[in-house]
Amino acid sequence: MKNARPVPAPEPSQIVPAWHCMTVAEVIGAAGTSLEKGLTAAEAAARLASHGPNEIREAKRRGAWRMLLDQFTDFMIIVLIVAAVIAGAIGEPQDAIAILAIVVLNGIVGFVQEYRAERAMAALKQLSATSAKVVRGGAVCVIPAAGLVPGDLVVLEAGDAVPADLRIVEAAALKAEEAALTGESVPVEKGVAALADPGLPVGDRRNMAYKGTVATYGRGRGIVVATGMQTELGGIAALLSAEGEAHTPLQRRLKRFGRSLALAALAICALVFAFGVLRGEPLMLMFLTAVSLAVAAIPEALPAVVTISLALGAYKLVRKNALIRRLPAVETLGSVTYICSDKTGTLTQNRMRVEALHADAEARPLLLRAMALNNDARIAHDGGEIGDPTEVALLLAAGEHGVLKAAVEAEHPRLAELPFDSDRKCMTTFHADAEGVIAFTKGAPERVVEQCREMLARGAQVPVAAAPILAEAERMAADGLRVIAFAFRRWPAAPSVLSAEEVETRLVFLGLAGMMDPPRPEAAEAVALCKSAGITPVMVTGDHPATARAIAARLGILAEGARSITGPEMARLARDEFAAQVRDIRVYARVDPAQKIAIVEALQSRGEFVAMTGDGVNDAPAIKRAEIGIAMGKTGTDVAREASSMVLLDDNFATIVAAVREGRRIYDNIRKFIRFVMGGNAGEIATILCAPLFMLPLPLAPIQILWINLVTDGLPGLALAGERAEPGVMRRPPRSPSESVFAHGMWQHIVWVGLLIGALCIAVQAWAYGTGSPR
Amino acid sequence: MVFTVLTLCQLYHVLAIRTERESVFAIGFASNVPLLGAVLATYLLQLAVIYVPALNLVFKTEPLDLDELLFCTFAPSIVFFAVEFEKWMVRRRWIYLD
Repeated sequence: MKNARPVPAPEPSQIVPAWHCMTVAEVIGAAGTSLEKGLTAAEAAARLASHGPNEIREAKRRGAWRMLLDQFTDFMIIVLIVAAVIAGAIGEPQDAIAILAIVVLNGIVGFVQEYRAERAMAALKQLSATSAKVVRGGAVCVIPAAGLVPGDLVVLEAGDAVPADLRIVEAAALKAEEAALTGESVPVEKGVAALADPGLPVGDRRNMAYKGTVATYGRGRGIVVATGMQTELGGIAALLSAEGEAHTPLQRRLKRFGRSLALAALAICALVFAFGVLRGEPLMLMFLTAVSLAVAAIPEALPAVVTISLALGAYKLVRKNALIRRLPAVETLGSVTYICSDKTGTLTQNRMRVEALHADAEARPLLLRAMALNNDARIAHDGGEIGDPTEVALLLAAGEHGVLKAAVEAEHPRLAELPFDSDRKCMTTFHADAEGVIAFTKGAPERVVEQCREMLARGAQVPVAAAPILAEAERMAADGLRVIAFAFRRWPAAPSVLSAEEVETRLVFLGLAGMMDPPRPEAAEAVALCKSAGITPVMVTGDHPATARAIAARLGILAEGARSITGPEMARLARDEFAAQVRDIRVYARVDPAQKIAIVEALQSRGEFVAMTGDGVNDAPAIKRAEIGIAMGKTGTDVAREASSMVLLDDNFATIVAAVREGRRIYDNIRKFIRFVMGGNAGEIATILCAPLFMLPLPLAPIQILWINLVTDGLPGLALAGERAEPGVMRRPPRSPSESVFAHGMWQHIVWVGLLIGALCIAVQAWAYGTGSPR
Repeated sequence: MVFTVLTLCQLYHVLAIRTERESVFAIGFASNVPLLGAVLATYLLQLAVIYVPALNLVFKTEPLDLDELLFCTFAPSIVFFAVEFEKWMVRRRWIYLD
């Protein structure tokens, strides 16, 4: 373990003990920074130039040349090149040159494709790069984590990834999960005090936070002491890069299939070769024919085609606001059977809106005025709203009915107020009025109605009927509305003593306002699309069951007869009991994030393929566990994002469905490509293999075989990737993850199309041969 | 001729397999313009291989006369109609029920 680190301070000769042994003041001195202002922009730029970017160097990236060269390292291609060169040396040089030209052209086409895919992936990686909150020149700003330099003062909050090695200088209940470095999954509490032992293992350095770990709780600040490859993570990066290239399930299956197919093709080629030689064809010609056929028939390129299609598809998905973090997700999206989605912000708009007003017709104008006046929210100069979401909703609702706060407030200025507190659940404001002073009170219905003596009915003040009002409030709450009651009281002058007991009593009831966070307009359509596609949408929320059910019913998630359950109810069920009914449950309310993983596991135990959304630190395990983990781009934490395979840039449920649709399309198009290439190849093989059986000469020259392989396979095949989704793509059930690519009649198709093409070609050849045509 | 027929078979094949179930005409024959362009370009390249003397030498081809060319151009359309027929049977649920 190395304890002394390179010194980021200006004097490199100064010997510095381990950072964790220094006091905060010493750290600030050694790092040449300030606890209040951080580094200046100029100093940060200078240090970035000398220390380099804060990046872990990856295992050697393939250069463009290497990628180009790799196009020719396939075994059969090498055999072909060698054979062509020998043929050229023996006799026909222009033949050899043409073959080589086609092989090179083929390689270049493959290279361009692969290069585009690689660039698309690099662009995606850039998009999902983490950012860091850093204090520069006294202001907190968000910069890409790669731009951090030693001495930077970094702000950490729960859910943030630690962007570099930090010496903690301020900690408020800060905890970090360091499994990536220490293997210990229990979060470690962090502090600022200097530690005595310079030889402490990394896991015990409680005043350090390391790159690659995540802050899971609390908040704090730390000074960057090492970046990039100098970090502890950088030191072990060599071990990490052993992960290797991840292949998608489809690629793995195609590779396995390709190997057996290659053997079959080689056998066929050997057969063709033997036939030809027996019939007295020139040895070299037959060899070239056989090798060309092998090159053409062996679908070596299929796994590469899959990668390219997936990468380009992922790149396209960004424009639909879905950022793919793991390539196989594009392919597996099409297999999703359950989408478990958060409610707030994903299915809903994440802003309150008044959905219902309950008041006597004559009381309505006064109620609207109460809504606008008894309100601390306001409209900013730029048209945005400032204030508590509930108050903003009331303000906007009054405005929609023509009662603008600015206007009524000029008319009835606020004289005094009794602010809201959570014990009273009420607030009261006093306003000047033609008849003296009017006080408006708003608050929880049961509290407000309790203090009402009268109510407005048909323009007159009559004794209050509390029971029907509370019943109405309850009915509104059952509809998922958050209900607020309004009342007023006239005063000759503003009371001198403002106490709730004196003021918020003997009120006149005005009316009720019911608010909710309404569904996103596009969500209902997306839910319907899910259902037609055989996907069950499920809502998982921490919100009240009534609210959750109301929204779910409106969106169509909770159809007749479907069930909802609350977190506490779920906790009382045994694991098997829960798993037995999990498929009937459409709404989970009052759910603790930790219970999400139980939902995912229960669904998986029933053979379902689950997509799960989440944004918080506590959601990460469920996101990781789900087949498709989805993190929120706007509200999500780094932790959730890093656990996810896809990030929703607009936090929108409809985007998930759009991504599923795109995933199905991409998979379909890969299938179409395979169908096309293999069908054509089967035709080619059938023709060449069968011609001698009908006593016909070789139907195709080697160069012609290669031409068909490159041009006729290549050009239209590429264009197939651009094929739009079939109309029925979201009307069929999800594809089983274990299903073969060749399912649904594909291999039969390949066989009969091959035979048909072969028959046609043989017939043409026979007819031409019979009529003596040389062609 | 076999060479040209084989090429054209592939082109008709690709036109037909643009859809797995629906008829190509249901989604619009011209709804993937790049694909039509690729098919046309391939056809023109094939004509070049047949009719440009220098390429004749390389590709061991000879110019086809008009009858042969028409035959080679249209006979392989049988592949297109056969695949459409296959999809028609799929839609009828006669085949590939797995």
